This record gives sequence, C-alpha cells and structure tokens, in this order.
Amino acid sequence: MAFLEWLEYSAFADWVGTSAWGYPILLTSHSIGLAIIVGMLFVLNMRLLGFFSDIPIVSLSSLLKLAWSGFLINLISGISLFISQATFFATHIAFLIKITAIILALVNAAFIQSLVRQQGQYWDSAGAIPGRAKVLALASLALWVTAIIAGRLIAYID
Amino acid sequence: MLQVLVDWAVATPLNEWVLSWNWTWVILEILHFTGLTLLLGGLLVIDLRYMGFLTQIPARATHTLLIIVVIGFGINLTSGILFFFGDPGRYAINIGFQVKFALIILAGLNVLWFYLKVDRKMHTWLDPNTPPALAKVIASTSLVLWFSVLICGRMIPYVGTG
Repeated sequence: MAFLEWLEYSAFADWVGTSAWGYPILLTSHSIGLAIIVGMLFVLNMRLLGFFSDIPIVSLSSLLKLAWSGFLINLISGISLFISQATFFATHIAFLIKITAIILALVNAAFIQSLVRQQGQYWDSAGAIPGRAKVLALASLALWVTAIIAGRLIAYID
Repeated sequence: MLQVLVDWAVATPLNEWVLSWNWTWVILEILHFTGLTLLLGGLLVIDLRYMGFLTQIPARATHTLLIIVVIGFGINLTSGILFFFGDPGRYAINIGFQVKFALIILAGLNVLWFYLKVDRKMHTWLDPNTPPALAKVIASTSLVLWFSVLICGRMIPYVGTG
C-alpha cells in the first residue's frame, strides 16, 4: 500500500493527473494499442476457428508481431495511467478482473504463437486446424472481450 | 441550424430511450470499443497488405476480411447514432466530434475511390501479389483517416465545449 501511495505522489503521477494533456494522450494511446492488439488477435482467432481460409496459417505470425507492438503501447500507457491513481486501481474489482483477463490472454497468445510457429505449415497443407487450436482461439476471444468490458466498467462501478 | 438539429434530436423518443436506463451508456461504450477493434483490425490487415507489408498473405485473401470491417462499422454507426441522440447538445458543438464526423465522410470517399480505381482493376495487375502504387496511396490514407477518427473520438471529452 505504501508503495502504491509513493507511486501516486511521484512527479510523473502528478503530471498525468493535473496536466491538460496527460490523460488525453495516455487514454488515446491506450485506445490505439487496444485497436491493434484486439483487432489483430480477432482476425487471427477467427482464422483459427476456420473463417477466412484463404489466409495462410503461417502468415499469422506477422499478425502476432503487430499484436505485440500494440501490447507494448498499452503496457506503457497502462502503467502510466495506473501510477497516477495506484491505490484506486489496485483495489478496484473491475480493474483487477481486467488485468487477470489480460494476463490469461497473453499466456494464451503465447501458446497460440508457438503452435503456429511449430505446426502452422502442416495445418496449411492439411487444410485443417486441430481442435485444441480452436479452443485456444475461443478462449482468446472471450478473454479480450472480458478485458474490454471490465476496462469500460472501471469508471462506472466502485 | 445546429440548434435546430439538437432541439429536434433531444425531443425524440430515441433520446428518451437511451437515457431511460442507467446501464445503456456503458453498454453502448463497450459496443463502440468492440466495433472499433473489428473495423481497425480488419483494415490494418487489408491496408498493410496493400501497402506492401504482410507479404505472406495473398493480396486477394485480405479481401475476405472486409466483412469484419463492415460489421465493425455497422456496430459503431449504430452505437454512435445512439450516443448522439442521447446527448445531442454535447456532441453537436464539440470540435472533436465534428472533425471525427468529417473524417468518417472522407474515409467513406476513400473507400469509394478504392473500389472504383483499384478493386475493379485487380485482374489487370501484372503480379496478383504486387499492388500498384495507387493502391498503396489509398491504403495508407485509409489507415491515417481511421486512426485519426479514433483519436478525435477519444479526445471528445477533453476538447470540451468550454
């Protein structure tokens, strides 16, 4: 708790909270990162579920790279936003659900990434995607939707 | 003229419906964010491919993603209209909203330009996987416009009405 308060009283947190542009810049960056990461993973997950079958599975690796860059934007903007109100976020149920969903979604994405790397070419030549990849894809979709919903609810519930 | 629009919109049953339940607004926000990920996610793949990136994906294959873009746009057009009718006075005079609206129109014209000048000529490309220069211009314009739409939208609460 003391650490969280220390963060909140830092000069950076002060700038985020009191400057005219701190919040708008960080929130806008966070939306851009969100569009990239969830957008890319949505296309990837739909492909794994069997849609858009003209897109080669092996090409999904480049979508994953883009998704990680989106995540980097949100990690940086997210930490900055967190610092400015650390004690508020750390005890907020919607924020905690959001972070849990994101951590699970990242682990899930890492699994998908290694599967695609190791077996993507075989799935392409076989023209079929194994059941476990589809389960991961569904889980990924559910987790990111949860993260979006929880993120939006932060401002609306205590 | 703007005041006429606002006065009319605020008196509609739609306005009443949007404001009638506490949770409508946050649900609309969730839908609007979801819609934008579909719109931008689909467009990123299509436009980056037409700009010459993501070369592992055949150019024509990205076409099938347009359905995601259209669905995302549809969700956001609907939720956007409901936002507007829920609080027309706030949005009508907001510079962020006005610029956003203008950019969306430009993005639509860009789509038309793409359809007329690139899409209908895809069969004439020397190499089916090398988009012509015009396709690169239109695709990069598309991404710039749509990310600008996102930025303007996000700034609406902050470029206030004074």
